[in-house]
Amino acid sequence: MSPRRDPIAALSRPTRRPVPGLRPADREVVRPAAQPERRLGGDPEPPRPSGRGTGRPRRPPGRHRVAAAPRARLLAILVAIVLVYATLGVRLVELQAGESGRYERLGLDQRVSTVELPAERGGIFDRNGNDLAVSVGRSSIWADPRQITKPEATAVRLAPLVGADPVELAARLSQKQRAFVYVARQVEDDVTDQVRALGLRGVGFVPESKRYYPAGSLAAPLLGFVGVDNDGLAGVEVGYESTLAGRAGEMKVERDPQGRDLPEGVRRGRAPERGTDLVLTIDQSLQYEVERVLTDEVTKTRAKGGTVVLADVRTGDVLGMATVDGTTADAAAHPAPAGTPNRPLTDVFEPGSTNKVVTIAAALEAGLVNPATVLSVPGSLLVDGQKYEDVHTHPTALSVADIVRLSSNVGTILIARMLGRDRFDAALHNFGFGSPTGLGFPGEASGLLLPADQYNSTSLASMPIGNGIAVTAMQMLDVYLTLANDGVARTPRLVAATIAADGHRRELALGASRRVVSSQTAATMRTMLESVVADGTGVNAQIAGYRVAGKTGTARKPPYEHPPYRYVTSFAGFAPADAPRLAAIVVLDEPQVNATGGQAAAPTFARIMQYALAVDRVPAGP
Amino acid sequence: MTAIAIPARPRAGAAPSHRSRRSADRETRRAPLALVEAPSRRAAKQRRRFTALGSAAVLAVFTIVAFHALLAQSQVAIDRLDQRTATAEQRYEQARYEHAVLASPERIVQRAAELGLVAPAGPPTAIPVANDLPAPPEGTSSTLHGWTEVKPTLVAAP
Repeated sequence: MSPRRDPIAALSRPTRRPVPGLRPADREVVRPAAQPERRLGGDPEPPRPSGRGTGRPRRPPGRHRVAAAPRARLLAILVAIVLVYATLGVRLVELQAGESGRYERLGLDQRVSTVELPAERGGIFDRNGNDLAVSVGRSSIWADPRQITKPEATAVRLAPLVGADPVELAARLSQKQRAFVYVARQVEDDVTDQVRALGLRGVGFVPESKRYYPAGSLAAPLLGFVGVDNDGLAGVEVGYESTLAGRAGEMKVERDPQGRDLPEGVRRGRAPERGTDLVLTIDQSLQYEVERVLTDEVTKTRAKGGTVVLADVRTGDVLGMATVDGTTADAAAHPAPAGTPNRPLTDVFEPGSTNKVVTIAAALEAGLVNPATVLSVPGSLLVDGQKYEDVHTHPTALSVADIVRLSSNVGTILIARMLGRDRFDAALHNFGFGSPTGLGFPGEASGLLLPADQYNSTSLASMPIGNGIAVTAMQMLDVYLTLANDGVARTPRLVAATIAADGHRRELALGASRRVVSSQTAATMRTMLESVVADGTGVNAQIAGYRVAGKTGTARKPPYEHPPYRYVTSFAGFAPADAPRLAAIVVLDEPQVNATGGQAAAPTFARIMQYALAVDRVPAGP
Repeated sequence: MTAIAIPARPRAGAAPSHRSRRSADRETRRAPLALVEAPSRRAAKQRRRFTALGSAAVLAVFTIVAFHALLAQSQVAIDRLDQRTATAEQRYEQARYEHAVLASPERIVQRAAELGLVAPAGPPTAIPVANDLPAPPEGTSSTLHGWTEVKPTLVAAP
């Protein structure tokens, strides 16, 4: 095997091959040994002739420069190549080792998208398990404006199906800078099918759930409502938002550029947790009857509106809570729709005579009077220039029981004077005035209660008879629940149980209880209140077969001084009087006919209570 | 063809130098002679080996492709099942909603009026009894009773 010739050496080495046409002597000229000087590359420098003449030897073409430069050039190229590869190598190591995580993430970000999985909202049941609020799966229609070439034509086809304005929809579909716009949210299934049948390019569907209230406007102000994103906005829906909403999940999905899931791609995430259901203490049947009767009464009395609360004495459970709007030029009286304040808890009113029980009970508890204590009660009383008078004529000598039965303003003021400012103020607070009832309903009012140190000269005359203070219907019912419950106040309850995502039902504890007045005082009050219904101002609250106890209330609304006078009439009571099971309060706002508590509110109370006693299977008395 | 390594013979008459002696020693320590396979047989063996390797590679590729296809099919099947489950759940929710609507008091009163019934003048008459009436049986509402059993099985998301 012949040795391979080094091309570089070959270029730099003088050739030993005989050059045609040259003599051996000539060859010696190019022999390196004959040259006294050697330049880089070993080429001999030919003798430089002086002057210009034809005797100048001809330089072999490119012999000197070409022969001398290649080694340097090749070396430079070699260095350059090494440098380039070294740079690439360094960068490669940098990318693969140093920054691999970052680029991996960047790559994943392009393929992996995180999809939020909204949790199904919990339902709301009545105490018997009837659905009051339920979520049903629906579809929302969306569009990618970048894929819609003719927005106007698409809008014209879509608008009638989804009930949208074509112009507005076309404007939405023309937003080319956006990749997602809603066409319609939570549409019915038949609409989804119709839109799907159109086969429009760039139009898609996404599953969502829609909140329904199967019983329509039943207990609507109490239940509240949710927004389009299923967030509670009013009522129980917002009050128990954290319970009902559940916990949203998320799913990381690896998709191809067309948005299709990759079978072997990333697919991990956290499943959403379904919302917890609420089992309310409300009874659907009772609620319906309460609303129906109240609507009738509001219509008959031409009242501006009315509210009713019905509760269980032993547990404090609210069984019915109604708000009715009165007749207007546009509409007949009707149960208030969703979005209306839940007035039994949010609106305050001057209670009038229903507040007298607080004054009398406090005096009994303090041992100042007993039902048989006779007081000299004039028909009217002047307090600091303000005249207080009784509506009903009566003899001057009245027992405390008669003061309650006849709802004597003057007699109550006299007892309040005996009680004094501080004890009266303490009694108001003990019965729960001035603070929310503890139902936990959003927006519940505390009522308006003048601090004792700010009482004016007539406060101890006005407040004992229910003027100069403002309470919610629920607060006033709480007073009667306390008396009916043997003097023990129990925090009312609206939610009886919850049903977790795993289907486990958890019964909630009854509200906290505290004694407000002694059992004896409560019993005495019950007897006196029974006399109110038996032959006092509340005879219209009588129910055949049952012993009923209660108190009427009629308060003038401001301005008090000049006609036309406007009133708030009410009746609060419980039944059976001897073993109370149910209590209720009826409040009518500005009744135009029968504008007293005994004439307007008491009959309403009787109708509601009679039905409730039957539904609750409370036996009539012997 | 068999190749046989022949050790170099020292030149006759020349005195063996120290260097040549060492070389000779090295050569005597060489591996013993061995039978070498003929190139044609080696080539055939290599061909068989390449063929086997190629077949294994092709089989592996086909296996992977088949596995991928199976995965894709399974994914499609899962998607279909998910779809069916979602449809069934939606049907359940819809049916429950319709049941609730039909069972609502307003609907019952409306239907009663359509059938010619009229609302009573007053509430039902109370009958005096000595003790409390027995409580209504538990679980009268089939909706809630069934719901506590069904709820855990439902998908949490709409």
